[in-house]
Amino acid sequence: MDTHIISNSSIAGVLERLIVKSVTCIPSDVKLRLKDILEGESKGSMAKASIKATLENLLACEKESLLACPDTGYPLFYFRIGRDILPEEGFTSLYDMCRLSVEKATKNSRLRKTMVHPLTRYNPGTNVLQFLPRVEIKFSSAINYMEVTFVPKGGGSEIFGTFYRMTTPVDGLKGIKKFVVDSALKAMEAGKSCPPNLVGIGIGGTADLCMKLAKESALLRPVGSRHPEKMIAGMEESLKHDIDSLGIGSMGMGGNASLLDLHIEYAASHTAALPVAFNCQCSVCRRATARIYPGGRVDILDYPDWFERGEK
Amino acid sequence: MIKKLKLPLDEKSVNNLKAGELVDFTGTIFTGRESFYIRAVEENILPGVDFEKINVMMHVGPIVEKRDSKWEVLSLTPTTSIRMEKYAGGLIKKLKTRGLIGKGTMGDKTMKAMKETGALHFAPTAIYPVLLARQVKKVKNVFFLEELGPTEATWIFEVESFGPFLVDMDRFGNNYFDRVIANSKKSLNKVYRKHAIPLNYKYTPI
Repeated sequence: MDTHIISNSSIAGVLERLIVKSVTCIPSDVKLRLKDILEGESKGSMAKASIKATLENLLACEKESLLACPDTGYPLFYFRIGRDILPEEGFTSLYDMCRLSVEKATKNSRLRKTMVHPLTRYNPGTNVLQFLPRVEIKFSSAINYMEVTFVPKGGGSEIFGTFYRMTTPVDGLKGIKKFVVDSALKAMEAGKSCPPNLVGIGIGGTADLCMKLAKESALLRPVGSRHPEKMIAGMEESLKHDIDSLGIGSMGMGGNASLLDLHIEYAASHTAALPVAFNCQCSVCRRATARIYPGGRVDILDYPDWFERGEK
Repeated sequence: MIKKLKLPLDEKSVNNLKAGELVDFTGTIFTGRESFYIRAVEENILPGVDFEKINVMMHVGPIVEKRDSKWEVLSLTPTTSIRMEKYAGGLIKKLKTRGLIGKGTMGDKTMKAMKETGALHFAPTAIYPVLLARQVKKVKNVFFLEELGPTEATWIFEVESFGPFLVDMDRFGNNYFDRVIANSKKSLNKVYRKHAIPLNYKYTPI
């Protein structure tokens, strides 16, 4: 086994670039979908004017390197690292670099000072305290690079767009469908979660794994992607259609489209259980990804291949 | 059509606005969120502002930067109003505030106060923080910056054609979002029927 080393300076530089890109320039898959939604809304409707203004705002942000939304939210990092890849100063240095890059971006006004102590409400002004930034690391034998994604996860979609329920095998598919459409309406009504949203659904696993899958399918899978298993892909299409049919529309003002997309991921379940989780991402669906290769090559991408399905 | 409103708002212009109409503002507004409400209502800590002259409040944590010793607003978008439900009614009565700008809508307690005193709630019509920031012509003042930080501080902004915002709650007790939600609930029943989910479906109690 040949170990390939990636320099810490290269990683640190990429993290800084990703933060700036993610907060100023939304991914192309999201922009394309917003343009589709704009086309699909009726002439003269509030929904059409809304999406038009949102896109106009995003264009200005990209051009002038301004924040796409002032709530830069929770700082989240997702690493997928090839088997033979080693950061020069060891894996624990990834945590240090994430913290440093968030602190620096906050100092440079690229991230709003948003993270506080949950009880005292103390704000250190760095976005770095007690388990945040969140750094998720997974390893893969299929790749020869380090893939890193930064997601600034806004408060609106997290606070109002998070639901979990332990249903039972007796509740079955019906219970899951009801949970998903009910949660969607609760999240999006009056525009609380900043719709059109990208909804992620987790099914199975332990409570934390279930929610993790919901979150990762909302945050890390590109708009328009479908689960490789036919049954799950069919559920994605059908539930997306159901939620759009509620007519919630952009910012909850009424309209034909309420979703950027809907993604489902599942894990094995205890034979007595059927947990289901809902987590959504807002219409300014921010993320930025890079692949760092040994030797220094860096590819900047719009989304990762987090679930290893050859998405690129 | 967007109705152009001059600030401060008087009772007559409040009475002329109905839920579902679009407006923009020209004049002076102040900002606040949880800290402002808790301190104003529980501890009577208020900034030195003439609230008769500045009577529209925006729930927001703006991104501001000092350039050549002058504050500039780079980005601002309303934060969710319902979090302030506990205090908003009391504050409207206390300060005679005629307008609240915030994401989403508010509840019965606020609606009751709005009917009583003549006030409105305005919701954002897009995610347009940079477009809104460009309509802030001047930062006139800031209070509590040291103790609360820029997000929770009280900012006084001079705005021009600021919006458009949606009148979602008028003073006559109408809520625009209630109508949209009522339609969504009808459609939700159709979705239930499609999947053969009974309207009185109960999850297995565990």
